[in-house]
Amino acid sequence: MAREKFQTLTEQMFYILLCLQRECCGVDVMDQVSRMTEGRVVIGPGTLYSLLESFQREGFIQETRVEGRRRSYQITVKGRLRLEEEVRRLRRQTEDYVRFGGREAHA
Amino acid sequence: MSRDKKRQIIWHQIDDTEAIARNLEKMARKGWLLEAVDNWRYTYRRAGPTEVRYTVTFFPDASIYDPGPTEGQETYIDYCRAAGWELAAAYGPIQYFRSARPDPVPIETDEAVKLAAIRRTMRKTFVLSHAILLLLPAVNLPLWWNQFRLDPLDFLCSNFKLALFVLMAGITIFVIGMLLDYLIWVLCSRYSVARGGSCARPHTRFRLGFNAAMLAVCAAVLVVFFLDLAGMRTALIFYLVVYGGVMLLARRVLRKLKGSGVSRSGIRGLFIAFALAAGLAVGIGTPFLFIRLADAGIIHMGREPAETYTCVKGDWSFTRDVYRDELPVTLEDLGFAVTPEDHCSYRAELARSPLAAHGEYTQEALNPGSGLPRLYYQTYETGWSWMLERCWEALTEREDSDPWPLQALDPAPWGAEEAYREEDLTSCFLLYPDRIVAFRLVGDAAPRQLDAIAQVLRP
Repeated sequence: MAREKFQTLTEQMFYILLCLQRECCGVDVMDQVSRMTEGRVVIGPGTLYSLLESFQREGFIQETRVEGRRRSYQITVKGRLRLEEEVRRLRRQTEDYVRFGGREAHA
Repeated sequence: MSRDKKRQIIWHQIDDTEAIARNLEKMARKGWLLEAVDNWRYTYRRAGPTEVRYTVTFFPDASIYDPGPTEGQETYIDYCRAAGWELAAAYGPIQYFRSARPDPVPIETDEAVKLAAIRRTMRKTFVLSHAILLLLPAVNLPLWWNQFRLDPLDFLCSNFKLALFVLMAGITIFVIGMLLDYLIWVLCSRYSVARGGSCARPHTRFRLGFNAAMLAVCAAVLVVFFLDLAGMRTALIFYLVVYGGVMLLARRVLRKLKGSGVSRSGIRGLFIAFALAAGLAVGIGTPFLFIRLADAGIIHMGREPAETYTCVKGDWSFTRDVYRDELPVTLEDLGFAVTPEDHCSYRAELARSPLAAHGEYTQEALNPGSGLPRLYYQTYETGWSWMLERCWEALTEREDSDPWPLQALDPAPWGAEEAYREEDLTSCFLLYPDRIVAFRLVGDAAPRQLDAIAQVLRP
């Protein structure tokens, strides 16, 4: 089930892994992601907790530091590979869009 | 109860989170903030009317047996606090958060993650408890089927047994209905989430209607059950009061255990052991106590007799209950000379249910020196011919080795469809279109006396 779940990353999964390329405390991930995406992607605390647990179980991230109740995490090699694979998938998707006549979207 | 506290019964099912949140927000606007939750009620504390947001989330790793918040739960609460949500109350894995922000970030922003958490929680709570509840009818129904098979008339005439049967059938339908409703919700949610949608809305109206209907059926059945208990009512009330007390005690024990430093599995084991032991003690102790009280003559379990008769013979004596019920036919009607010295008891036990009626009549002389025979007869009535036939078969079924085999009689003189008589005994069984008559006149009985009984009891 978990493997099937991570075959494609949702936006929230993607940005959590992206954020954890540098060590970061769990509770700060919500703010970081919000800043990185200028508020476009919002991660709820319940979703963050569940995803951090799942990523840790899956070996995508590892706990690096525990200070009281503050736990910090960082992406693992396996997590980085998964993130890069997702980037390649997204890039292929964009390339296919252009190749098959999609027009550049303008804001 | 203090005026600063208010309690409210929980009517919503735990997965109906939106309805729960709306109710809590309405209470906050009225000036009541959620303070605690248990399995059947909310406790509010008085506060000024406030506009707050509530949300209900599921933390599957928490349990009602946890001595306190687990490490993971504390982290979860910290994340929620950082997003503007304060934990208002929790009952096991169900967490009630409150936010003073007008538009806080939802705690769950990924519907697939939310669905997974709900499903894990529901498996451990709702599904497990309902599956255990199904064991009750699963154990009882075969026992009742056996009772019905052995003595269908007794079963069909007893409101008590029928009410219990309907109650168990109601519980079965209710539990299966709830589980199916949940299963449909899971399937709809999975379908929706897989296509980028949100979790399905629970079938609130269906549930409310279904619950109300089942509650009404159970209440009606319990009233019938209670009215038919006669002498057992006191025992039932005693049982319910003591059992209620035990349940309250169990809650206290659970609270004490939580504060004692025992682990989750320790608390769960001790609590279940206590609940089982207390439940068994009350379940077995109540009948035992009331039987002892009845034996000691302090209470009367059955119908109150009109009087009692004590016969003393030398250093030997016995006391018997004397009834003065109206009987359709008596020994006097049959020409026997009954005197006050015979100390005759006239007992009529009538059982009537919507399906069938049973009358059991006895006239017997309690004085051992009396030469009167014992008159005993029964009538069974039901409008369902197939049921009557089944009862007739059960009544007239005999083993080959039976010392009193049945002898077929010509039913015509009795005006019956079939007639049997037990050899060497003055017992007759007569089948009419909607009634069975069985009677026995112990002692010498002339054929005209048997005929007189049959004529009175025929439909």
